[in-house]
Amino acid sequence: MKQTSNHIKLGAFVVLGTALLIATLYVIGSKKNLFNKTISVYVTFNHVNGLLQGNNVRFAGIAIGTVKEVSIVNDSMVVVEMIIREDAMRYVRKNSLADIGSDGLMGNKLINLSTPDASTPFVEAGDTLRSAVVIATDEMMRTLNTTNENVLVISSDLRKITRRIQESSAFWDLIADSAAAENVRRTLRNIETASTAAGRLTKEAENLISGVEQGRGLAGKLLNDEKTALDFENMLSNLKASSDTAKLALHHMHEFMEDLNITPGPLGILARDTVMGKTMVVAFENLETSTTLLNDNLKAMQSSFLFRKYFRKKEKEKEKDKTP
Amino acid sequence: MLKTMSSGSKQPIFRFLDEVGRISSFTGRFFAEGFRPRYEWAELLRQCYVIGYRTLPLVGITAFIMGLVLTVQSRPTLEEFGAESYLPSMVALSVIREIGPVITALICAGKVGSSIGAELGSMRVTEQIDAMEVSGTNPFKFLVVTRVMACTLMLPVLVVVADFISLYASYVGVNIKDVVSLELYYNNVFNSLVYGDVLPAFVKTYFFGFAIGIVGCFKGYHSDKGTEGVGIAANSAVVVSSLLVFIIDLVAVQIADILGLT
Repeated sequence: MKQTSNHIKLGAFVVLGTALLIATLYVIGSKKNLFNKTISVYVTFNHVNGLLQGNNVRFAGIAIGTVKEVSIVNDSMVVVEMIIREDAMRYVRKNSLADIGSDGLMGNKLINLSTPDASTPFVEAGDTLRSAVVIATDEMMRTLNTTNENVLVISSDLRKITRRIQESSAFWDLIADSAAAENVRRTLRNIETASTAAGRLTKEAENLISGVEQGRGLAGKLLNDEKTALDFENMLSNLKASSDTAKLALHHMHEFMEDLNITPGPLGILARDTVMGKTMVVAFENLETSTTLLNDNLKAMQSSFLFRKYFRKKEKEKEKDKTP
Repeated sequence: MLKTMSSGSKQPIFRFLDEVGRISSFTGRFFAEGFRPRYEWAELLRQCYVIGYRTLPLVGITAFIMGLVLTVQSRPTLEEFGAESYLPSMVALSVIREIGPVITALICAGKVGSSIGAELGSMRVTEQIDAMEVSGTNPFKFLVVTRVMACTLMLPVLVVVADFISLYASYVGVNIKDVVSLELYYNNVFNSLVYGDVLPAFVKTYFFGFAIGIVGCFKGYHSDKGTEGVGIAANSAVVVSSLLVFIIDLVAVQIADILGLT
């Protein structure tokens, strides 16, 4: 009787242990979708950031599957095979986006699925979903480290500035000085006035530019009218040619002046010798007087009977030439 | 010459090698006789009851305390990182993968190993084993095979039950300073477990049980020096089987790592 009782106790103990073991294995298996109907869906990433076989696949934060396989296709492509419960197929669509996240800050990696557009059909076995770019934790940490270093430098500078301000009495005196405050106020008012003027100036400049753009004024025509621009261009071209000619003439004149200075000719002597110049002026005055006297003589000669016939003949030839 | 050296020498290395050789031979005899009829079913069941069922209270209390203490002591460290929610996962992984099997095996090595060593040792020194041989009963089959088989079969069951008791104690521990439902706790535990956590830990418990049984039986079966030998047999059974538990654990971890199960 006692032996039977012992056997019953032993049997209960063994059954309990075995049942617990089987239950554990079943629950773990069902968590990993080993006993559910599932489909395989694929997603391609450039970098999986430590994703492992068995990691969870979540949709809207709910686990709907697991990662079955992670395999490298080439140097920049990793294909992840996910097994998704068949009953979750009616939520995941063909255009769903797969993103690698983590369960908390230090938790396991997982794949988050999201559907941006509910108009596309539901996912089917063998489909390949789109993937989001994975931000690696290391990269994030590196950026954060650089930011920290910058913040450190900035805070160090700020500390120095603050200390200088605290140590300097000039700053506090300036703050306490009412005259300085009034000056600052006046300066600010002046700045405000200057700012208003600058604004007006800017507006005028804007109008001017607008007018130029619309082709008003010479500058506008030059910039917008092709004909005027062409004329202006021709004018500039002519001006250049005239300038070249003037330059050449000046060059020749320069050479002439040099010759005049160097060569002992009559013009040179005339230009440099003042006595000669005065003599020549007197000679020219005498010549003018002589010319006047000669004119008078000639007029008198025209009235003389000796040459009267000759001048009449000349007048007749002139009239003859005029008549056609 | 070797016989002279091993039997007469006091050098520890030769005594160690002699012990290893005799245990190996004893183990070989177990496999040679253990799977051949006639089977001692009644004695096997009795031993299973003694080794398994009657060890359960001790193992259960130890497991409960272990789970509770582990949870309470781990909480401050996890709190520093703001990761208290990982407490169930951490305790589950620790208990199921390592602490549960090893602590249960050590408890069994202490209770069962010493019990077997003392029982067989006293039977040896009182010549009961010799009497059995004379009466035509195979003492090795009746005494050794049944005990080793019972240890090998019962230790995994004890470990599974102890793991669950530990996890329940951990649930109690979590609820001392926090409020977590049993369902949430259960989800946290099982979400963190995979077959790679459970199966290697479960398989190695068979080896633990076998080692405890074989060492206990060997020490008791080969005890001498009268009543003093009984004490030595019980004591050395505990020491050697405890050491073997750790060595087997080390080997099991390495094998699991090579197979990619860690």
